Amino acid sequence: MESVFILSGETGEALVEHQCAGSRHGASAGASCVENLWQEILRTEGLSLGGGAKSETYQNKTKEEVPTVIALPQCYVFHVRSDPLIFGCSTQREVPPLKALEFLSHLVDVCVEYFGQELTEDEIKDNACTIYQLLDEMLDGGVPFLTETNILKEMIAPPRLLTRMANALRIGSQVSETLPDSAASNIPWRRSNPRYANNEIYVDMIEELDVTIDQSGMLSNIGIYGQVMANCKLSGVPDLQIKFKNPQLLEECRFHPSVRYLKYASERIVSFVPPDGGFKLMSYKINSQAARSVQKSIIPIYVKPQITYTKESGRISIMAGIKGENGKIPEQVSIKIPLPSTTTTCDISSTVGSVEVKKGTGTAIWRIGKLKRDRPACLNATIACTNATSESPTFEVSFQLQGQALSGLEVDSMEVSNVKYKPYKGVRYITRSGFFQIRT
Amino acid sequence: MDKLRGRAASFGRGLKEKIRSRASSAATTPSGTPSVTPSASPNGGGGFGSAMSSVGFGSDPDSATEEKLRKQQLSSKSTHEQLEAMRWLVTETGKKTSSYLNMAKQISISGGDGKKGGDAGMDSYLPSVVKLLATKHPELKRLVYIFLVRHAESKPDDTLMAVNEIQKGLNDSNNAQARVLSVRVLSSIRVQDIVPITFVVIKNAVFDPNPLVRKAAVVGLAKLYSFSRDMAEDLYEILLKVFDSEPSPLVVGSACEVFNSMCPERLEAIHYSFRKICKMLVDMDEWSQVAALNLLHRYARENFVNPNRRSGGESREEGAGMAEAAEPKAVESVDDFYGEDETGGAAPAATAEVSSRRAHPEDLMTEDHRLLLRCTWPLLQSRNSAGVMAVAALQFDFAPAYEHHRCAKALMFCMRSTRSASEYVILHSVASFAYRFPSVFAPYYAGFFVRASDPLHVKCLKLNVLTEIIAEDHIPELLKELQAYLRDNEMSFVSNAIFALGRCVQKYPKIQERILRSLMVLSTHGSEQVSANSVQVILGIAQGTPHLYIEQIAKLIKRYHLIVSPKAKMGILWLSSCHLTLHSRLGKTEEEAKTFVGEEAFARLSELAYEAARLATLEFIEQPEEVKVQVLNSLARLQIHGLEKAGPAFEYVLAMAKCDALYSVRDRARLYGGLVSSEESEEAGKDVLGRKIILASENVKPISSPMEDQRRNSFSIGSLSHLVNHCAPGYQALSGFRDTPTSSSIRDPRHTISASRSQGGRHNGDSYPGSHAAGGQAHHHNHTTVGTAAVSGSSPLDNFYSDQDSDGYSGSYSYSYSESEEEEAEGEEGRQGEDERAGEGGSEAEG
Repeated sequence: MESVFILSGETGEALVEHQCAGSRHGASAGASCVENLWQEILRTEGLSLGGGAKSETYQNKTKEEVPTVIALPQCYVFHVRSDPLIFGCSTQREVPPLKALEFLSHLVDVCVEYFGQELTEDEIKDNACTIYQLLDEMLDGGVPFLTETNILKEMIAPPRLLTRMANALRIGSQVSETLPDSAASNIPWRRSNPRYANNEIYVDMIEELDVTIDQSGMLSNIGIYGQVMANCKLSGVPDLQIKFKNPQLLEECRFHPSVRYLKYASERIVSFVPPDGGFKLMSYKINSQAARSVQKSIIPIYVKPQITYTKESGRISIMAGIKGENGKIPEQVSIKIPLPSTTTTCDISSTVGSVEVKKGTGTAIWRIGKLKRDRPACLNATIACTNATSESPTFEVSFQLQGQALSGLEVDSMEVSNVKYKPYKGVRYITRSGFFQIRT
Repeated sequence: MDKLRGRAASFGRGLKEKIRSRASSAATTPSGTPSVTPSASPNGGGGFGSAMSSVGFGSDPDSATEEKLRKQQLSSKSTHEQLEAMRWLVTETGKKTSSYLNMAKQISISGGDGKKGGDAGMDSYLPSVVKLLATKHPELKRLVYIFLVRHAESKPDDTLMAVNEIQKGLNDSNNAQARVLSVRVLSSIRVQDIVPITFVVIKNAVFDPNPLVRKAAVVGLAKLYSFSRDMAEDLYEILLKVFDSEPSPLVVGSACEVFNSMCPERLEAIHYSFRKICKMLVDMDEWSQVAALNLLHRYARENFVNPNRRSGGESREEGAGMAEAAEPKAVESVDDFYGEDETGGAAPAATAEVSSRRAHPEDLMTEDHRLLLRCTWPLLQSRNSAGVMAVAALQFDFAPAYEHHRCAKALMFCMRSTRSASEYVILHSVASFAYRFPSVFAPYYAGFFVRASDPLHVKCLKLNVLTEIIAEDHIPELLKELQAYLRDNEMSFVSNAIFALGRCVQKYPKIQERILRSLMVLSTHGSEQVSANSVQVILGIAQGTPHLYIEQIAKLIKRYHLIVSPKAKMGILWLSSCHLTLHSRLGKTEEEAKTFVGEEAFARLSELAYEAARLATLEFIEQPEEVKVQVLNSLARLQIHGLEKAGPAFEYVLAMAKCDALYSVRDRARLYGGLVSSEESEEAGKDVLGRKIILASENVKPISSPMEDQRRNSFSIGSLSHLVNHCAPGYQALSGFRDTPTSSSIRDPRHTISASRSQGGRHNGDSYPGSHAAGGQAHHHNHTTVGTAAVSGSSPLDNFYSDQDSDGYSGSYSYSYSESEEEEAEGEEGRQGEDERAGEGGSEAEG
């Protein structure tokens, strides 16, 4: 990688542009890469956006996107979107494309960790200096050097309120003078010797449900994927072991580097020395046989669309409700409704929740919120359109279930060893919709 | 932030602060200036700068005052002011590169000049910045370094003055951070004069006690190499030394990376380090793992054989896609078994089947080959998708075929669980794997089902993969899915889905019936593309045996006037008259073709053909060129076959066509008119040229799979070159497979050849894992080895573990890790495990 840059997603202005130390090509090549990437983005997406804004018709097209890797005459440019920003890098030489993309994704994570969940243009501008320092540490000569968030944080302090105050008062420095001990150790992901008054570890099991329901209302495809997010506030160097009650449900796993692969392979125990703070411990896939065997009972929500199109108009009515008697109640339910491509006007009313129509993408989003057990939510839409008869939209549903992992995967025990204190341990289960689509 | 700071400054600082900042700057200044800077006066610096600025900025008063202010800050005694100025400088530099480029574009034609002018604006600060090098303030120091590295090239003289001060950091034996920074900065400065200094610094830093300093030094090797090729050999020597003696995986990982960029072709140099790299792989950082895996992959191609090679060599797996189109049958028979039973357990059966045709994979693999496989497979569970991809590429090449499904599974999961930004890139590689090993991916077909939210290029690629890998058992599910796609709103996706159906039919002709029905519906679709494609697929199905599809042909003709697409119209005309030219397509005589179709059916088809031609004749004038030509064609054929009814229509069309605006239509009309009339004048029964010409026809080409592109793409899967399908600079091709493995003795450490040989012999006894469980176990051996090495205390590795003893836990991390492995190994394999450890200890002791 020869240069890394952060662009504003709205104006294409380069907010940060870092030339890797010791890289071969000059600044001009890097700048023209940025320029070219932005032109490319404008060309493929700007046109359709502009069209949507100018004419009042509803654009219903699959969103066209610039591929994340593009080849330009002078260089190759990679980019990752993180609205409203675009993180990109360029190279002139062969590099595994996934490596570059993973690095950019990691950079996004680091920035989020430093500057908060909602990255904005101003935030990046204000902290550009910190980002340059971070990049200098993360990339040496175009090769990833130190990338662990824990260590970076120790070396270059994130701009908290306290450091801002200190800055204003002209005391202290954002940067540590010495190298963190752990950087050169065997556990480079862990901050050296953190101390907490209350030692606690929280584990979130977040499952995602991928479901496709075909036009006859039958389930045609199902998959359950999950991730284990941990937030670890433990002093010293704890060694954790997580056992699952039913590990046979797990088909595939990917782990944080701290997890001992072989221990898992032989005993199905996730054993690791955790990084400090929040991190993604593992992601997993539930055995497809298991997912299929529980099938219908598992889906907590039903959505029944009815569509009738004539030559000049169309009606869409949707009913959504809870399936099953005693499951958890789905929250944050929303349904994305694609409108016919020839829509001129539409009139949508619903019994619960709010509806937002996005003309640019030709979709309506129905935000229902929490479903009620006794009363299903209904939506009626009358659309003025021409020749929509052959269209059959696919509805995308999203929801969340608190306190339940649909697959039934459960943490059996979580042991903390190598420390003297008794930490507080907490496990939380959440189920979300992944790619939940309903065909008509 | 800047505003905030400015405000804070204007509030006035407290007395305390004043005193403190003064004290600190007083502390830094005397130590700072000595050998480096000619203690330039602030005014002098400022004057120089403004002179430069008038060159760089033109006449912009704002930037001039800004510049003055910053220069004052830089030369102020307060650390805080200096810091503020440096922060501004570093931030501005980034912006300047782009804005100056635009300026250069406007002002001058030659880009090079413009760029230099742009840099001049910022690098005029360099002299004042260099003065700050001596600061003790860590952040200030970092910022100075960043600025210095960026502008060193344009101001070599000022940079030279800085070198002395940078080198001071190297002697700070208590502060590893300072050494890391010094090494990094020195190696990043691209000034020819300091290359010898940097070289010496790196040479020493490679043996620094702190691994991070060593890592920085190793990376420095590559930077130096890219800048000055003169000392390539010397740098290479140092790199090899690192491979030989380096105990930390952190550094070895970087060394692999550097090796790949510096001397990728000298693979023979890592013979001795091969085992070390394998064993350290799991402990490297995730980025280095990718580099190390690439290195190992290329090394393996040079040294190991393909365990799945066949005697015939007709496999399409072989040769990484370079192979010619192979008969798919050969592949299917081997891997069909996966389609039936993916849960494993049938592995012996597969092995048995395979062994009848090719050498047993076990026999082809050497001990080191197995070591490589054992050490790499855990990384299939890495969170880094690049790592997973690299492992999969390696395992597909070097693992026995019955292990491949493991990689397929991991890749499929990787595709779902990685950020959407990478999805297409992963899919692109997976598609290539799927093309080479269709049956391995067949059980995971559902993972390629299209989601409504996918971008179009992802959807189309998924369709291609689906039709490529689908096994007969899953055809019903696939058809159901494809038919759902046909109802999509995106027309280009629908037409792709139609072609996908067409490819399925070509592969499994049994499913024609079902598909025909939905295609018939689509043939009148409003979208030209969709209707043309569906007619084309119907054509492909019916062309060989039109008599079986009379009903469908009739229906199509009935809908002729509903169809808008000229291509679809052409298709229908062609199809309706295709029985007339059947003989030329099948290579038979006319009589034979007639009996093949059946007398009655032939007459009926001719009726239909006439009906179609008649309908077309009615709207002849409005049609585009290609349809007109096709109408002429059809009628001429009917005429020549002696269908009386067609006569008037043909005459009419000929008359119309002769006055057509398009010369091609006029030409065609004259040709047909001439040929038909000459045919009629000759005696019947004679085999005349005219008849031959008019009735000549070719089969409609089968719908070619877009995967053809993938086949031609011979770059190694997972590389940038593979993705963009052209050779990127610096791309290293994989060499072909070897016929015989290289001797394992070349990988033995130079002095312990005898010991390792005996070890190798013993290892051959226990077989390579046939199942997951055994695979895991075998891997534990390897880790046991590492662990015991640490205990026995005589291997180079032990340095690494004792190095971090100060950290209390970390030193024992890997050790305690392998200890538990040891227990387990003992439990499961008893004596053998013990033997191994003893043997291992012995060999280490000898070393």
